[in-house]
Amino acid sequence: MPFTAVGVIIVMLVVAMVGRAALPCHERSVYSINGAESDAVLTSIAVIQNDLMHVAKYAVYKALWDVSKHAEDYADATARGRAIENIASNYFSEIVGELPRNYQHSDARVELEIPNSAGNFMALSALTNNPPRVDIRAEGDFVSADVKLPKQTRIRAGTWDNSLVVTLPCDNFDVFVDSRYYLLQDRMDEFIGNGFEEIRETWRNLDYILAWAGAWLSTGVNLNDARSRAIFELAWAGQELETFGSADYIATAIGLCGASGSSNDVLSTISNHPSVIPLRAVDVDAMNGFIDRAIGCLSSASTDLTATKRHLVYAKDDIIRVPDNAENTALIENARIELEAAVASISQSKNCVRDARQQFNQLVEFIAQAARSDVVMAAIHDSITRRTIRSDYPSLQEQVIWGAAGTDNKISELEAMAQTQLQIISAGNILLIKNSMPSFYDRAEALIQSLLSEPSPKRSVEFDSYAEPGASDVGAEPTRNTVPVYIDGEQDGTIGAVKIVLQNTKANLEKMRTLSEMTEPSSSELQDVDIDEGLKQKLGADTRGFLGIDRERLYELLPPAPIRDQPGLSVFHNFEISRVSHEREDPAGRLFGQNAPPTPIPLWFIGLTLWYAQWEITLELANDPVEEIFDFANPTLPRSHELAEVLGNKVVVDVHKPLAYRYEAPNRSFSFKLIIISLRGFSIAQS
Amino acid sequence: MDERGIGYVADMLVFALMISFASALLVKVSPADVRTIDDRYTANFADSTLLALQNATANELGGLRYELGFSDFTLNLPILSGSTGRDLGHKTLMQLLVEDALCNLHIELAGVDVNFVKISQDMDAKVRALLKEALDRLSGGLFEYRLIARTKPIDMSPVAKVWFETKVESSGENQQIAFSKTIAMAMPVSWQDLLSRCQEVYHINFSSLELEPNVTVEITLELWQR
Repeated sequence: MPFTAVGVIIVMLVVAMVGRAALPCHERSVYSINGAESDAVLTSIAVIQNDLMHVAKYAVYKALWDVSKHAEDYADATARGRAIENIASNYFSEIVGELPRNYQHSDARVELEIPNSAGNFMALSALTNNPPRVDIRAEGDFVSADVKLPKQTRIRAGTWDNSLVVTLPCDNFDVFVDSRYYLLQDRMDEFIGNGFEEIRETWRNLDYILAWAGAWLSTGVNLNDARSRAIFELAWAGQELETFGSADYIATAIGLCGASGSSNDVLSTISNHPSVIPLRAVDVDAMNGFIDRAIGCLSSASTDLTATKRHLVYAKDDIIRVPDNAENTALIENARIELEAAVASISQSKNCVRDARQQFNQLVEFIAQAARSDVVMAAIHDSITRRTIRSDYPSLQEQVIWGAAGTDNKISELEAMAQTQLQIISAGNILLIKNSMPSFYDRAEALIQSLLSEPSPKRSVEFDSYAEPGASDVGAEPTRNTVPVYIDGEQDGTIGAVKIVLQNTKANLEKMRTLSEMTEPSSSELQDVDIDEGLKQKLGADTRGFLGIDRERLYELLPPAPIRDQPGLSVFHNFEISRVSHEREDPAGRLFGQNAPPTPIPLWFIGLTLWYAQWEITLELANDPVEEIFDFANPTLPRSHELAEVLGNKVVVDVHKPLAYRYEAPNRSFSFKLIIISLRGFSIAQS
Repeated sequence: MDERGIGYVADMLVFALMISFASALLVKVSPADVRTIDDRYTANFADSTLLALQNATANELGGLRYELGFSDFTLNLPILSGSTGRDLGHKTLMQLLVEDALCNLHIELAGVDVNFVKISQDMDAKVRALLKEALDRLSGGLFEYRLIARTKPIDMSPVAKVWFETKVESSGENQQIAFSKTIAMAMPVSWQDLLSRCQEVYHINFSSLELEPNVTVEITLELWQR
C-alpha cells in the first residue's frame, strides 16, 4: 500500500496547510465583521446626535411660536429671549427625558446617558433638578440655539458582544433654526415704536391735502367720518408697507369698501390729489428783496434830501452874512455853490424815489408771472392790485403809485424852487437875493420836512379781529380793532409814508409766512403721502370671499404674498374704528357752528385775508389693535392647524407654517389738529 | 488479474481518492471570504447612506418645494393662490421624512381613512421622489434598495388605527435582502397630543392604550446587490 501511505501523507500535509491558511482567513472575516459593527456603532451615535439636534430644533420652534404669538406679554426683547429659552428648555427636557427609553426600544446596543443632579446616570427622565439649557442668539435674522445638556451626558453604544463600546460626550451642541425670529421682532419693534406716530402723521397729511384742495379749488372743505376712516386705513397700510415690505392689503381693501362703498373711490380721490402749495412755499424772500431794495432807494432819497437841507442852511447862512449894501458878487459865490449842490441832491433824491417805484413795479411783475402757475401767487397778485378786503381801503399798488407820484411831485416842486433861487443868485442882485432867500429857505425846509417826517394816518378803518391760530388767548369773540390808512391819494405821498407802507407790507408777508410755518405741514412731509403702486394694485383685489372668515387663522396657514420681495413678510392687522370726530376750534367755528365760514385774518397792507379753519380730529379704536407678521419666505414650522369644521367636527391638520409674530398694542386714540389757511374764502361742510 | 494486481489497483484508487480529497480541501481554501467582504461593504454602504440622508439637505439634491392641496376643500380665494407653496430645501432628508410622517398621518376608523383633508399629500409625493433620487445617486447602480419609514401604529382595530408608512424602493427585481438597518427618529409631537386631537374629533377613547411618550419614526434601509 505505498500509494495509500503517500496519499495519507499528502492528505495530512494538505489538512495542515488548509488549517494554517484558514486561521488568517477567519481572522480577516472576524476583523471584517468587527469593522462593520464598529461602523454601525458610530452610525448609531451619529443618528442619536442628529436626533437630539432635531428635537432641540423642534423645541425652539415651539418656544418661538409660543412667545412670538404673544409678544406684547413681554417687556422687551431680553425678556422675550429669556422666555423663549425657558420654554424651549422645558420642551426639550420633556422630550429628551424620554429619548433614552425610545433609543433602547429601537436598538438595545445604544444608550443615551443623562446624569441627574447628583451625578448619577439615569436611563430615564427626572431632569427636573438638572434641566438642559437652551440659549438662543441671533445669526443674522435667524436663530441659533446653543443647547447644553447636563454635564457628562453621553451617548454609549456597543457591539452585541460588548467587544467594542464607544462613549461619546454629548453635553453641548449648536442648532440653527430656520425662522427669522429676530427680523420679525426688529420690524415689529420698529412698527410699535414709531409706526403709530407715522400713521398719525400720514393720516393727518392725507386729510390735510384733501381739505386743502377743497379750500383752494372752490369745492369747499368737506370733512366726513367715512373719508377719515378710509384715509386712516390707508395710512396704516402705508406704514406697514414701509416697515414690513407688505401690508394687510386684504383688511385695508375691506376697510376701504366699508368706509366708502368702493375702495376705488377713495383710492382715486387720494391718488389724484392736487399738489399742495403751502403758503410757506411762497417766495417771501424774493418779494422782500424787491421791497428791501425799494426801501433802500427811499432811504437814499431821504439822505439826499437831508443833504439838500444842509446845503440850503449853508447857502442861507452865507447870504445872511453878506452886508445889505454889498456890491461884490464874490461874496455870494459860496451860497451859489451850496445851492447848486442842493439842486443836485434834490435831483438825485427824485431819481431814488423813481427807482423805488421801479422796484415795486418789478415786484408786481414778479408776482404776476408766478401767478400764472400758482394759485397762491395769483391770490397775492389780486390782493396787491385790487381792493380785495374792503372797497374803502386802497390796495397796495394804489398806495405805492400814489405815494411815489405825490413824493415825486413834491420833490419836483422843491427842485423848481431851488433852481429859481439859483437863477436869482446867478443874476447877482444882492438885495433881491437877500430878500428872497429867507422865504425860499422856509418853504424848502418845510417841504423837505414834510417829505421826510414820520407820517400820521390819514384815517383809520375799523374791523373785527379774531384770535389767530396758536394764539394763547383762546376766546372766540372778536375784538374791535383799527388799521391806519397812510396814503389815500397823491397828496399824501411822502418818502416817509411810502416807506412805512412798504415796511408794513414786509411785516404782513413775514406774518403770512410765520402763520404758515406754524400751521401747515412742510412740503417734504406732504411728499410722503403718495400711495405705493404695488399696494394700490393689491387694494383693487376682490375681497368678498374673506367676509365671515377668521383671517388671522387663515393667514397662519396661507399668509398673503408680500407686496415687496424683500424682506418677504406677510402682514395681518385687526382694529376697529369706533368713532371719528371733527371738533371745530377756530373762533368763527366756535361762535357760529361747525359749518360756519372760516375765520378771517386780514393782512391790510398786502390786501390779503387769510381764511383759516381749525379742527381737532380724533379717531378712536374699539379694541386693542393687533398687528401680526409672518415669515412668508420660511414656512418651516410643523404645527397643527384647525382647518374647518366638517359635520360639527373640527378638522385638524399638521402642516408647515411660517413663524408668526403677533403684537396686541394697548388701545389708543389718534388725533391731530387740522388747520387750513387759504387766501380765498371757502365753504365748510361736515358729515 | 491476480490478487497482487487487485491490491495494486485498490492502492491506486485509494491514492487517487486521497489526492482528490486533498485537492478539494485546497480548492475550498481561499485567501479571503468574498461573502464576508461583500456583507461588510453593504453594511458600510447602508451606514453611510443613512448618515448622508441625515446630513444632506434637499437643496443639495435640487431642492424641495411642495404645494398645499385644497382640492378636497373649498377655498375660493384667488388672492391667496400664491400662498400654498412651501419651500423646505434647507431641511435634511431625514427631517423631511419625519415631518412627512407628521403631516400625512393616516387615521382609519373601522378600516376607512377618515382624514378628509389631505393638504400635504404633495409633500409626501415630493419627499418620496427626492429620497428616490438621493438613493439612486448614492447607490450608483450597485445596490437595489428599499427605504421604509413608519411609526409604530396605534392599533385599536377594528375601531381605530393611527399610523404612517411610506416606502421608497429601487425599480430592480426583489432579491434576497443582503443587509437591513433601522434607525429611530423622534417626531416633534407626543402621542398624547396627536391622539387627544383624534379623541376630540372622532370621539374615540385611547386612554386604555399604553403609549410611548414620544412618537418615533423608524426608518429602515434594506439593501441587496444587483
